Amino acid sequence: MGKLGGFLSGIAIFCALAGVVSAFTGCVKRPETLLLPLKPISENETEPPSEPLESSADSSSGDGSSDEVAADSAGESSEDSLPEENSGEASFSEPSEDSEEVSSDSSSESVSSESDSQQALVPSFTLWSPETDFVPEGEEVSDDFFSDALFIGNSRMQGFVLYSGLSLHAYTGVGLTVATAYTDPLFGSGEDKKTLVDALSETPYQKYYLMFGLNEIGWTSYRTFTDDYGGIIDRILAVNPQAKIYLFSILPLTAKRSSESDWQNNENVNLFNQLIWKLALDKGVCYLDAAASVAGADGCLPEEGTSDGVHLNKAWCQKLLSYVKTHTA
Amino acid sequence: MKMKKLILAVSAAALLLVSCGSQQTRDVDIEVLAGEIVQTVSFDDTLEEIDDSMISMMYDISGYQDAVLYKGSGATAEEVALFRMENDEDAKTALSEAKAHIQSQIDAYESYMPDEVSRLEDAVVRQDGVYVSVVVSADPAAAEDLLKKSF
Repeated sequence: MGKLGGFLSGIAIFCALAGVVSAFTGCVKRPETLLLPLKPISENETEPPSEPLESSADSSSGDGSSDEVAADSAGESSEDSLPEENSGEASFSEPSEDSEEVSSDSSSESVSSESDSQQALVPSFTLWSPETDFVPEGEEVSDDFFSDALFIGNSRMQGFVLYSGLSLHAYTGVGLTVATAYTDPLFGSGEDKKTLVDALSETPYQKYYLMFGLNEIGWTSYRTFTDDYGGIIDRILAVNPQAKIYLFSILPLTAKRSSESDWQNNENVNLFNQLIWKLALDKGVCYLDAAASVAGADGCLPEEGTSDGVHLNKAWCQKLLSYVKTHTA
Repeated sequence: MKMKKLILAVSAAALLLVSCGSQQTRDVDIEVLAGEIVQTVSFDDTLEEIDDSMISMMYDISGYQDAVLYKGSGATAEEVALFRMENDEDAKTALSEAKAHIQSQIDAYESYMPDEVSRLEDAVVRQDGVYVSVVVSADPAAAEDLLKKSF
């Protein structure tokens, strides 16, 4: 009986100690200031989904297109947390008396029913901006400032570069992602085309402007996104350790376009912009909060700035150019 | 005497054959023609003229005498590109590069915007003497007609 009591006491002490230890180390901590809930990562999902930009209502993700990269599923969990420092808000508010008079230009998506008695959620949207560690406004630079700059990125960057009216050096591609930057030989001439990361090694520039994220905001693996993006930054710094690197925030979509997709929407723009901001901090590079320069009062891209809700027309590219010229480090 | 007449006749015939064999194209102002294409052919997006210095970002064509490029915002794959080369041989090379450009666009849009692939497959890509034309539009037949009439 004495030995049994001692044994039971030992087990009780052990359990108590285990509980104390797990309280300190075993929890997945989510920042209390988290802007948006983390997306659940499917246990069975090993690759980030890839939907065509203009997917039909019936299309599904994960079709194994070339824009995908295998996610590092080992050890991935909701620990891919968002940075603690952030600002802005995204909230659901109950409809006011005027909810039925919300205009089509409003960022609010009415989910209300026709019945007056039913309470409906009217999500409001605020474009996220960091409170610290972004490139502030300064004196406007001349066009020559960009003579030793390289512009890198997706179709939005391509449109910006082409519509800027300037003579710019650029590596851009329709559908280019931080994953295909490593796999798709798009840059160079003839048979000697290189991937982006290989092409970066060829000629050092003093300034690099990077615009990624629009094609990746459906990815469920935040770590894959930041690892791949970070690898591109590392490759640039290997070529020129003194290079000034600017990471563009992802520009918002129109409210209408945002409402049409369950992955390419402004909520995910906000979410991934936090990732990009944190990456810029971690790498010691510049975060260019350009999203605000093209957004309307509702935080979305205005309809008059685009023909498809995503890509900027020339006038809006000029707005973006003005922002870039007045935000240098 | 008869021999001299025969030689003259043969020479004249040879000259006639040579002049008929080479492609006679008009001297075309491609800036004006590109503008006309953008204005009269149907496009789903608004096309803007691109600075000359940026044409090489889109097309791997060098040694041209003149070039003009109009591109959409990225909402579609639409574009108009006209090149005037030094000679027919250079134009033939440029035509090959233009076709390669369209193929690379098809490869890019296949996973990005699949609806644009058929538009790219219907692109008008042609050589008319020293001129090479590329038109990706909503109405390839109209683009082809206009180009045929212009050269």
